[in-house]
Amino acid sequence: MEPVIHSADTPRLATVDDKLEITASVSPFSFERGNQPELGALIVEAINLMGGAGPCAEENYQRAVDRLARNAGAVVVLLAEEYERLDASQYLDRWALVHLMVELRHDAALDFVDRLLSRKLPEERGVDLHSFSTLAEEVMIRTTAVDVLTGLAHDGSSRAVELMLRHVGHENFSVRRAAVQGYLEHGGEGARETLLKHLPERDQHLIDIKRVDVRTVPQAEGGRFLVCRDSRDDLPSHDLGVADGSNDNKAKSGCPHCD
Amino acid sequence: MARCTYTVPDKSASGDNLYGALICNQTYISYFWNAYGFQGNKDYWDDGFGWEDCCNTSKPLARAFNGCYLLTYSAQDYQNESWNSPILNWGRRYVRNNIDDLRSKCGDGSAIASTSGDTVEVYLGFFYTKDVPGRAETLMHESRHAGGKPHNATFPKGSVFGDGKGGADSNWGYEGAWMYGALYLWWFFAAGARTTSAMRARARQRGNLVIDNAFATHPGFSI
Repeated sequence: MEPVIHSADTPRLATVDDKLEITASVSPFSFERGNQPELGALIVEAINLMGGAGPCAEENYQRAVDRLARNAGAVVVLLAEEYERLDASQYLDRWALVHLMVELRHDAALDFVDRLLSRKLPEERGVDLHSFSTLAEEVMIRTTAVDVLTGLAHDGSSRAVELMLRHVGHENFSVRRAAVQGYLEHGGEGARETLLKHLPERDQHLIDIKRVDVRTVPQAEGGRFLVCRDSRDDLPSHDLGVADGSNDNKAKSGCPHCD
Repeated sequence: MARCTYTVPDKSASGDNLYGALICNQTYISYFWNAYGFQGNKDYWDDGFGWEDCCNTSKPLARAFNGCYLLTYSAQDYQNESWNSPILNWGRRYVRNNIDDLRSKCGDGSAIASTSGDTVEVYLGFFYTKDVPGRAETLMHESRHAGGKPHNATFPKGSVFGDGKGGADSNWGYEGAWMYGALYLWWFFAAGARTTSAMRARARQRGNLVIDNAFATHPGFSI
């Protein structure tokens, strides 16, 4: 059969690609419309800087956290209120609020964390769980909440230690595992024995799941299961895009130039 | 052809706003396009997916490039991509070797990605529900499938990925897609460069979730 030749403007009966329409919305957070808008603006700024990249990313983020730390108690109250206002589907935003509580290490977070860990987990809303599980997102929020307790326990809060023990019976495996590890770390000399009394037999193996350094676990063997072996690539330096407005190589319009 | 819509909030912890200033450079755009399977797939990245506006981090292509930047530059010594180095170093090489075609589609609204041969499709969830480290993890996971390693077990009791359903890996030593993704996240947590402690903490949470839920036999350790 002769090959079919298409010119660039040959009419095509159907395409297999999809079409997407994006609309922008305002920030999901309502801090700036609350009664402490300046503090709210600092919180939003810190959340925005959480996902930073580049050589100054951590420094910029820590500076934002430091500004919040000056009013840590008030900030934690605002974070807890905002968490309750956010739509359930704002998983990453809700996680960010709880992660800020980890950073601020203020005991005003304890009641909120206790409430959060005491609630029943919402029903799964995902369809293809291997791909995306809403329950997984909810669990990550709660294991981060356990980190709030761990940080406060490290600072000497006995109530944080008590709460970790209370939640070693959480309905979810990962939350139980995190609480057990936190309690073992901060529960004092008798922590292991206390856990053995509290944990049902089926969960006592949680005590043996250790936090370890990545360098000590079996690594993936590189260079296996390859579709095609590459030649050396021409990798650009990591810092070309640290924009100062003067980069002549910066894309101006119509990109990429590849096809 | 499917049509889809998405509403993007102006600020969030995903980091996409901040990556935008980094990836908006023709050198990176050309490199990522050629290295990670975009090349030859313009039809899948236009029509709203960002080909015409590839620095706009509200759109999928720039968000995919953000994941590519993290995948490429998160090892402090990223120039070293030796197979004997940590997965944080050679992950980009593995993705480059194993994904021939990377295509964007609408999906069902929550789907993240799927692999057929050496073609990987990524859906709206990849761009809008995954944080940037999570996108790199997904590319690692799908690359492992493209390399011919399917899942071989059912998820353990209580797994958030579906108690008793197929799609799990039997164990850590199987070196399957879940292990590759979790190990990449673990190294990113432990040694990730040019990022924030918050994103590394997020990677730890996700890595632990995978370790706890995606192996038929729990590996017995955590991050």
